Amino acid sequence: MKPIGFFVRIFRLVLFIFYYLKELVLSSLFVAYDILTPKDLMRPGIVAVPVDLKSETAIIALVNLISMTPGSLTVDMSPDKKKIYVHAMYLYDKEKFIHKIKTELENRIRLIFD
Amino acid sequence: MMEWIISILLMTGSLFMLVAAIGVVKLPDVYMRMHAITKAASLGAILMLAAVFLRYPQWVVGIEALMVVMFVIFTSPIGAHMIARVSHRMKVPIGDGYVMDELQDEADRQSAERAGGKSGETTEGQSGKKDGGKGGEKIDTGKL
Repeated sequence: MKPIGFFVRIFRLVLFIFYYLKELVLSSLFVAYDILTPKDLMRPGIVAVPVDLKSETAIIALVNLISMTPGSLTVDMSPDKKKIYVHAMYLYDKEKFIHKIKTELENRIRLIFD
Repeated sequence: MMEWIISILLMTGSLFMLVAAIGVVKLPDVYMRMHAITKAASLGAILMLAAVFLRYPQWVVGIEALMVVMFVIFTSPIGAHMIARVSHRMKVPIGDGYVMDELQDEADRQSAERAGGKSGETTEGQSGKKDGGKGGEKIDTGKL
């Protein structure tokens, strides 16, 4: 992989922090709404999501970010670091859920840490 | 004016914390309770720290508030992750309406493999898991 410049990385990191805060606010509102209303919407489940990040820092960042996005929480990781198990609160469509994690979160992390 | 902003921040912050606490009581199982705790409570803490900084606008307070925010942001998901992981290994009962549990499927598959094939191959992880399972059952019965 081509080394990217230090400042590009810092810039992306700052963007990433803002994205993280945005996700935090959104997910808090989601959870608050769900707690305060009678809950018929929930379809919980634990899904295995494949990851292909290499460095451990990147994986930790991904795990944190998944826990901060609305309705998902990391539960466990396979010993070979190939899969993480994510608990989802609204699991209506498994493929879509995995796709969202892969495209939105993992790509973002890969640009910064990996 | 500033007083108003500060009061609103404090009120919303404590409201989020209250919601998180209600969630811990109300939601059906461990994982969902962890959802409530990680998200709503950390946002509540952040809002309240912002209010503190606006009330005492000095460098020291600002830096301290920022550091606390960073610690909360980076540690609360890890804590929730560890609690969820341990409770899954201890086989804490899950709530109703689960669509799928692939982690449990994987664990079942592994234990079936272990029971079916190779005897004599014991690693630390396997023995640890078995112990965890047994301990978990005991704790479950005690808790219920």
